[in-house]
Amino acid sequence: MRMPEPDAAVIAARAELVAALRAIVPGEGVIEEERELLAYETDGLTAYRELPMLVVLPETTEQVAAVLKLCHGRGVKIVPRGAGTGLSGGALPLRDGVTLGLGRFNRILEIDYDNLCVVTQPGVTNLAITRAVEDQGFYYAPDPSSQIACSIGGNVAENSGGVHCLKYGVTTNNITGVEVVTMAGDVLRIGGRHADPAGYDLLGVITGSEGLLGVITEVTVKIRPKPECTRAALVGFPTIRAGATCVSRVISEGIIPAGMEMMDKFAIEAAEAFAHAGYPLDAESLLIVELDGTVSEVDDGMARVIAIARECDATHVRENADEAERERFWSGRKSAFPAMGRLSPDYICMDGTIPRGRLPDVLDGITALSRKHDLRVANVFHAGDGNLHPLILYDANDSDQLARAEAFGADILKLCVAEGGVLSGEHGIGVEKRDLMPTMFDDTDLKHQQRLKCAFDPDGLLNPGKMFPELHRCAELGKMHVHHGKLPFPHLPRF
Amino acid sequence: MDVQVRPADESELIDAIRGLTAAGTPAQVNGAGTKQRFGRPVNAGVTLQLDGLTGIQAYAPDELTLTCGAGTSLETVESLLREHDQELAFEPPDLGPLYGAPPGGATIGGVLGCNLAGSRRVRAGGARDHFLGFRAVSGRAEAFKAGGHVVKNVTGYDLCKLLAGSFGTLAALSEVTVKVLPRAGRTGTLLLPGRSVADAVGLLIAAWQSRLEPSGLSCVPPEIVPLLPPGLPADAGCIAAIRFEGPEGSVLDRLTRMRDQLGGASLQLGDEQSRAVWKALTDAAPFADAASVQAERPLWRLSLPPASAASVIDRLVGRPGGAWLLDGGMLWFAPAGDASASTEVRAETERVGGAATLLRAPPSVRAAEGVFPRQSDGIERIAAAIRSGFDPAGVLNPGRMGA
Repeated sequence: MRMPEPDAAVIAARAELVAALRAIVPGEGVIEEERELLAYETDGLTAYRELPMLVVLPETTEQVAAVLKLCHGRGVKIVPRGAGTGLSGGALPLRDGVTLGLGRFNRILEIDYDNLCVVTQPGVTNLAITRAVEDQGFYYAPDPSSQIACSIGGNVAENSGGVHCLKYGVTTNNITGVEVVTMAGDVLRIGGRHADPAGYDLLGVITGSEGLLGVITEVTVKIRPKPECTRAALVGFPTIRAGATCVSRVISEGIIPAGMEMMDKFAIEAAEAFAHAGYPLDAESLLIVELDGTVSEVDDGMARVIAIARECDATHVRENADEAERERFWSGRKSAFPAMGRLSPDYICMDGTIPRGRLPDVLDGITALSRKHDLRVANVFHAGDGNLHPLILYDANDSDQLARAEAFGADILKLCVAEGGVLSGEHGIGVEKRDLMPTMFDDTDLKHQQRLKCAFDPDGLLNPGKMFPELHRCAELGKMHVHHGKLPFPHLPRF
Repeated sequence: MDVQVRPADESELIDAIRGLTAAGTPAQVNGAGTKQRFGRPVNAGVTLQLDGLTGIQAYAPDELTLTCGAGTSLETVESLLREHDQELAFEPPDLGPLYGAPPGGATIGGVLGCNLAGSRRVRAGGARDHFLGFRAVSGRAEAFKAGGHVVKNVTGYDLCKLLAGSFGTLAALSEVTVKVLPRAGRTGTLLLPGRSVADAVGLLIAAWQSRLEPSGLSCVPPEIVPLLPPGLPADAGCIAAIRFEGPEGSVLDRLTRMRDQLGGASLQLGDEQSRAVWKALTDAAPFADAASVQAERPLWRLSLPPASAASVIDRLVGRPGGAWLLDGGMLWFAPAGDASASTEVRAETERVGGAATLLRAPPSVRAAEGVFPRQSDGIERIAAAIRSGFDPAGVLNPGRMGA
């Protein structure tokens, strides 16, 4: 993975920078020992590693602003980092960069039930927000599978999803305010506890900006009353196509499930062996359909879902009898990743979205690619919104397998785009899919995206090397071009 | 306006904007122009009218997405969706009549460009939350796209959010993709009349916090009742109105349970009356009377932390006085007489951390006092930098959102 060329002058001035940072963040908040820096060398995308030049762990917004201002003045690059669980390498360090960890921002600041929101520091975990309000009957809806560990600030940076986002939306639909510090050290308070503040929707563009626009130091999230009733059905089908048809039928009949997850045969077998969730081993595809709402609504909806499933030739239909069984249904799906870990030394989890109707064809395509690259693949999907998570199994100790796994993953994402889909449904671009951006966006599209970047960080010091395959200088992007398609500076670094 | 340019496709739109930049001539950018007077007046000799960019390009009901020309009329989109028992869940309001435009004239691009949502905002989110992708031509006369045609996507910056509510100041939309959802089946409304403002707002918050999933929460003062469709009691005191939507059995069940939970005197509106009343609330119809439209009587829309609404109403009605209507966290406020009362309204809104927009006022007032809330210097700097990145020559609606 090619990253921006390290700046030798910055590395040479490391000791000086350490002293200046220590004046801002005292005590153990500045890390320079290699043995300690190792803990930060990768995130959830472990195939890529790099030792950061330094790590700084500020505790206050003022400290974050001072650190950024200092680094801005010295031309030092910054890589923001939440809990380090991201799957696209958004927190991959830079050899000449300072990794700015938000782990010490770990307090919930205010719970405001009257306005149905929680004001929190960014290092608080996703699940901790729900834990803080559940005794009063509320919860925070987006639930990425890493929710025990991932931080809410990281969720905002990546616009994280989860299994319930078909009905309740992703992060961007569930927050109303942020405090952000720009690379120049300006503290911006955007939004608040109200909907649709006027002016450009900077809250909307910060969300999912992968740490390239600002460092998030506070988040206001919406909370919702917990549904009165939640019920799930486990449905097995004789073919993938039958399962996919069932998903489309449920939605076209006006039912929006809280979650609708699908697994293929390989994933079913692996998950069942691992979690003993009661999955039917003779099924070619398995759906978990979960409905929530009032009791009468769930009763009515579930009866319709089951009728549709039977019409789609379901061979196995089981509604949960009690809460323990519902949790068991999910335990298999949620352990799909560790289950793969037992079958293979390594795996990579891909993340494309397709128009749902293309699912059977895309799966046929993935099967063909699996043969071409000679690597096994298991498929789990957020079927309701067409978000695929193929898990490619490989052995990282075999460099040829790693290269094949990466090529296989890239082919899957290209297939998603060719079928009318997108490169990422919820994991973000980071370094992982950076070089695939041109398969979806042309040069003009990407330049317009980078003009947004230039408005926040004209010097390109914040998390460079992520999201965009090519760095344009902001001064160049600012000029007017009448003609399309020409690359005015062919010598600029492309990576 | 001297010249009107009405491109029929994206390449004509590119040519039109190239012409503007070459001549250094700014344009007023509109969909159908029904809300042309929303925003600061634009000093331009050219109107760039986008309602020629029409047509449904793709609609797959079971994918929950629809792609169409940005100038397609909202009515066309909504009637197609209705045929498939679907809708735009953010309940786009028709604000044209507030400015004297005939009802039903808005385009889908105009609704997204102004980021307008109706009473269902409290449950379904805003226009921004349903805006999945677009093609547009920036002030650089370059066509570009962002987002996608699927419901879940985090590929690249979310420029849909940037363009939603940008009032045509960054780019002219040519094609949009929106999320569509199953149509809410039946509608029913619980009315709790004869309440003080504080009591009514308290009831609405309790309903919002309940597990009964209301999809509309409005506080209607007695003087507004005669201006709404029939069905609301003409009592002294305010009415807390709580809407439920869904399958018939579920609506009836939730109406009953909500009534029992909140207690006190109540009555209910059935499907037809509910639909008429909430349409009028969503469109702020009580403020669209001929005299107010004619005089462009100042009308504010305040976006508030919902629980703060009662105190804001209390203080604004005490001074400067005027008519109001609360719809979710959105407070409509028309100050007494013809004053804009900008100082009081903005101070009061800022006190509770909300945002006040002067939705309607004579051009001189909009020009002098501004329309959108003041932002911090840091945010203003970023906004200006974004604007100069997308529209360096300042040809697209310059000044409409502010300086």
